[in-house]
Amino acid sequence: MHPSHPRPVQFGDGGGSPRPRSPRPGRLRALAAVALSIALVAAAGCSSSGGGSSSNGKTELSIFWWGGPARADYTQKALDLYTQRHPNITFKPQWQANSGYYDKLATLAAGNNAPDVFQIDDNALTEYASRKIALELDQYVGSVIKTDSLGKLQDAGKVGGPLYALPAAENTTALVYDKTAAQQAGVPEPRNGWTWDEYFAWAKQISDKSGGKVWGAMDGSGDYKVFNVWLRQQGKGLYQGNQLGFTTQDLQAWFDLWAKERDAKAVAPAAVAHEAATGDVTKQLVATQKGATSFMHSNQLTELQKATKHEPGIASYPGPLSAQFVRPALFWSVYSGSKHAKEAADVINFLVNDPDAQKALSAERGLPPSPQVLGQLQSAFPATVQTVISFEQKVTPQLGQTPPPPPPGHSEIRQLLLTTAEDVAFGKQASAQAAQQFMTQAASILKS
Amino acid sequence: MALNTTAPPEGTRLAAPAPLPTRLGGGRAGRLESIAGYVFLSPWLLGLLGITALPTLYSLYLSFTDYDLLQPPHWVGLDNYVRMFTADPQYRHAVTVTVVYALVAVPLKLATALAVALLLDRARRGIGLYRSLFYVPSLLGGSVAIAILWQTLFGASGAVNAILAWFGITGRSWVNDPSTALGTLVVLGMWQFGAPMVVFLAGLKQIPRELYEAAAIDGAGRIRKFRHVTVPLLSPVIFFNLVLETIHGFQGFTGAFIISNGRGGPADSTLLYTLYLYKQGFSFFHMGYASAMAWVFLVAIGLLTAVLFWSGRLWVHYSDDGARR
Repeated sequence: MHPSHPRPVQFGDGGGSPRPRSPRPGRLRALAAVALSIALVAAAGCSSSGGGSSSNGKTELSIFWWGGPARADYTQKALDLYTQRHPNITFKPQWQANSGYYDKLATLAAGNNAPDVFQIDDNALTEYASRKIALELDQYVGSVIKTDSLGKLQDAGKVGGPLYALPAAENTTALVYDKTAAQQAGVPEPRNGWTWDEYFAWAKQISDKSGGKVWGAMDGSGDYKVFNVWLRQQGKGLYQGNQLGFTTQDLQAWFDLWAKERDAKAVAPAAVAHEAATGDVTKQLVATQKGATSFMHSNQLTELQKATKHEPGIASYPGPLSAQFVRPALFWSVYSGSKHAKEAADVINFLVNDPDAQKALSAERGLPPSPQVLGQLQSAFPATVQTVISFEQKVTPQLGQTPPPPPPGHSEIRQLLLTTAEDVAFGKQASAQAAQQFMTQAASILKS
Repeated sequence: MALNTTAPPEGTRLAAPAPLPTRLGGGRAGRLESIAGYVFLSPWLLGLLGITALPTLYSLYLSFTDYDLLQPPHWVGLDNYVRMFTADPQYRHAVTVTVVYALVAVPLKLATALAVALLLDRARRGIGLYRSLFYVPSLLGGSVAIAILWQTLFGASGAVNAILAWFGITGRSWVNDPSTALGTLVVLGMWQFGAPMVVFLAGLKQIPRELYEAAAIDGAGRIRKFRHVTVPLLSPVIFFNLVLETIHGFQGFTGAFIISNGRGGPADSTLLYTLYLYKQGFSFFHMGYASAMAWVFLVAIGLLTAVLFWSGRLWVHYSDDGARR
């Protein structure tokens, strides 16, 4: 005798009262008919809600982005502004943290249920464009969408020719530091364009003076942004076309550099860095006050300010400024299966090009990509944004050329770099072996 | 699961009971009853076919394709399976992590369940309350909310470290250290011992008290009684719980997903098989590969369950063996 399935446990004796007699066949048939019809109606009655629905002239567009509560507030204001001007268009907004955003978007797209408008960044744009989830916007350029206003970022949303997305904002890579912690440690604030050695020496001072409570530097060994800048400073880059732009030796030297600084206690240890490696602004070392610097983007200063009571400051990544660049911070795309593509295209044009929309968005995603709009609004932005603007104005003349968007497979390679770097940081693998394994796996990812 | 503990003495046989009158299989009334039965069964049957059986077969098809969720799958034959076993070090790592997790978590959970069941197997005022309290964690334990709580609890500044600080121990960040992250998952699994505990309690209640008394007369102490009365008579229940909890243990996902923020934890230390499957399928757009992983998983768990059943012949004692087998 095999126990086959969990049965309700029976205490006491199993004997029961005699069974009631079953009803007559006619009544049974009637009961069966009723049960079946209820089941069928229930099955047919389930309808999925997805995409936009329109009834009596009103259109509802679904819109999806990642970010924090600050970004949600600003975006809602911009969307409300749009509805004011176009009363027949309303929105169903959805937002969440960055972690898991693309998983959800991919699943929604697979179910033909993706939102009409969604936020995307250059990490995933190539993949979503090549998989035809993002709509080709060329048909609307000139009429509903304006791209000639976008200055340097005009072609940023183009993948292999056609335009798939509009740049929502622009930013640069930026080292965010804790001004209060620097003051407490009695060290000067970071400088734009200082060298990596100067940076690590500065970080070590902070770690020592705080007795190990505040680490001078976040561990950037698994961060593709920092790695890319470091490579560019040597004339290389993360990618060369659709291949990796560096060698195994480069990667090993990179891991060794950080290992040395971790041992010297300038850089946060592996366990502390691991918490902050999620990309979530509120978990960064500067936000949790466990570290004095974090490698982020210039626009994240606003969200960061809300996450910490200390005063944050902004500087460029260490090393020559010519390796850093202005980049499209984020894009807006329209879903290729959207039933209201034209309206959606109009919405993203509004969010990108309209001065009032950019004012409502408060430059939290980054500065307005249109130089004209930026000039118009400069004085209207809040103080943190003014800090970002003055930082960018200082460094932009020295910045280098914006690289093209990464090839498909980049999101996997990004995660692979993080996992490999953590293996080295936790002492699970030697840097040489880890670098070799990374190169092999990355090559197979890019090939597939 | 009533155990018939008094076997008829040898040499006597009870008269075979008269066959029960049955309406099934006999004439029109019987057929109508069958049809009615199927009609009432139909909602569940449709669900089984539509939501379980057909998609499972479809995933078998997908396992031989390259499918990125958005474009139609195209056939690649055994490529996915070959790659899984030869060219994917993370796959082997995920298998190792899952096996280690199951090997550690399942026995610990069952042992805890049995220990607490033994403690609660007495009639005392308020014993019902204690049983309910111990059962509650297993109701909530598998949820996302508890997993999020767990992540905070075992973090660097979580409650666990606060308690350790009372004893002067500085705890580390348990969820962010690759040597302890899997341990937090094991503890999470152990904490949900309530469900197997209730089943053990039921099994314990079926053991007749006379056997304990007889053993006491023979001079058996607590441990002897446990070894020679409780365990053999409880073995069907232990077997049942073991099979169920092993399968459950291998399928663990929610805890690992939440605690590692969907990534498989510090240095892949919490990369359970199901989590890796999810990453391959949904994060990296390799749904064909993920389907292949799912089928390998099914076969592996099926084999493991078969091994458990086979081993059951050696150590599971069904007291009505003599009469039935």
